[in-house]
Amino acid sequence: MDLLLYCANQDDVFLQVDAVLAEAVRDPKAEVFASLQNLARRLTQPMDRPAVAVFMVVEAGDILRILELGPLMDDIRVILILPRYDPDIAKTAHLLRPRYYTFADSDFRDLGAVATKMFHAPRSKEVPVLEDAP
Amino acid sequence: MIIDDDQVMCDMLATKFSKMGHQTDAAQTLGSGFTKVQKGNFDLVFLDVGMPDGNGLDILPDIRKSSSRPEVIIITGLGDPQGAEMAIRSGAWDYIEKGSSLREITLPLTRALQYRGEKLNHQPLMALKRESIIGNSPVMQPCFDRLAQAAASDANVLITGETGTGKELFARAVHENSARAQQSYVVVDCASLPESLVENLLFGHAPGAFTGADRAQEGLIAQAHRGTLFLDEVGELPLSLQKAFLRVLQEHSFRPLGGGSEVHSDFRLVAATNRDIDTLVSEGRFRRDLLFRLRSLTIGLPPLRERSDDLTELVMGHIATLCERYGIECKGFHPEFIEALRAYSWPGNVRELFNTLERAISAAGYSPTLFRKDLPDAVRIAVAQSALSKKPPLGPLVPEEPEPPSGELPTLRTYLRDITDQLEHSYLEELLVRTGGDLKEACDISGLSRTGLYDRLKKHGISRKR
Repeated sequence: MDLLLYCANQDDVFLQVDAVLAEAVRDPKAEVFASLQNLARRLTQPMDRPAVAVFMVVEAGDILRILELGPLMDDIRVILILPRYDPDIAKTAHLLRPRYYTFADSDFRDLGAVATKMFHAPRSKEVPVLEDAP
Repeated sequence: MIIDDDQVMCDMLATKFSKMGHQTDAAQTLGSGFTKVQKGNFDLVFLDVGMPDGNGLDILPDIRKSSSRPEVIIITGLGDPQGAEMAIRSGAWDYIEKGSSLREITLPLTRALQYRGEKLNHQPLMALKRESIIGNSPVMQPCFDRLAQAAASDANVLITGETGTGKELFARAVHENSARAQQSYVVVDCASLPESLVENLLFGHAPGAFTGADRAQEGLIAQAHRGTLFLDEVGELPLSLQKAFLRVLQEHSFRPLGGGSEVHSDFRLVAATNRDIDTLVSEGRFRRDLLFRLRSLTIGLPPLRERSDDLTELVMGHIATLCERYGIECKGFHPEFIEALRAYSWPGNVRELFNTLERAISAAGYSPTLFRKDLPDAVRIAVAQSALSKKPPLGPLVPEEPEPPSGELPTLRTYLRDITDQLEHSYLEELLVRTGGDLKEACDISGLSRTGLYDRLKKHGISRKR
């Protein structure tokens, strides 16, 4: 299960989030993107489609730009890190149908717990993985 | 419409139904009956199974798809449990034997027409938006009917189905076709949220509610105000929280953690699960009263293995999507490719099919056509194993050496004729076993004409139907 992490400003908060996700996901580590253009290019690559994408949002406009990825995001579970609690941003955020969201000023312990459960707890009946015979 | 090769049966049913005030028509072959159904406007079709030009069950799905979408009642001289199951799964209203009394035949007719009348009275006034949901097979029709009902009402909806059947797509379609479509659609992923977080996320909190709660935060229930709250994997909702959530469903108001006053939220609930939630209730892991509230309206999605009519459309649609995503020419596929996909059981349903197509496109490289070889080994192996397990064990093609004649020695001509007859009998038996009674295949293998094969089967008293 692959993880993408989008963060335009790779500052201290990014380092914290990256560390928390690395701890939760363990192997493989998240692929990090600083531009949505590069992320879109990654999503047009055949195979190795990520299961989860974490977006660090700076402003509501970012959410609308992520929405423009449209069908490229089909079947990818979204986690959002919003800049602060703001009802308008929260309302816009739901357009992306996030599976979880938190805020940039949190300590990210909850994010780690959610990512751990998402990646490691067996869902009740997960899709079988097609492994080719050796 | 009565489709039955037995003229007496047709006349008897037509007379009875006319007395009940219904207009009837009849056909003695599948071909003429199907043509009439396609051209006419029928509410109900009585369909015989054993017809001179084929098996009625084979055209049942096509009758259900015809423009008037009639209900179908199967009437058969020889009822069998597998036939009944196949008929019901293909969308038949009922399956009855010809020996039944007239009352036993007219009762399902009355009920089917009553059901149809109510269904037609509740047709949605607008066309459903369901761009992402591909398929029109008869088994999906009840799902779309339920979706239309859900969109037109504000009732709680429970969507059930195996993993990968499209529960989330249906949940979104309920929201997008409802009066709340312009408001928020809020997802709660019960399977991904740790138990310690769910309560806070759902209900929100007041400042100082717990260590670190330095400001108020609105919960997901409040954020779904005037919109739709989607509880995915609702079977995973912690038991400790189910009572509180039941109250929210009843009152549409709740108290945030550490909060002093009630908050009102006018949300519509859609929930989904791939678990057998009745079993969870019987095991004490899910509250019966909450389940009762959740399933005001239920949409049960069929697994892909029951939607074989939709397979080609799903494959073509997703190949086009993937090729567009990858910026490559749209690929076609060889008939054997789709045959292999049809033979596979798809335990992961549409999601697994889509993953498989992605791998096949990648394996095909620059080839404009997808072949069976491009499918993942796991699929091809499963298909091959399944084909082997369905074939009966092959008997020896060369029979054992004949016993030498005992007693009075026959003439060589008589001896050879008897041996040839025995060999011919064994060959024909084996031929029908291997072909499953398929006459065309049997003729192809044996090199016999259809008439020649029939004559020999008759001579040896062998029935084609095994």
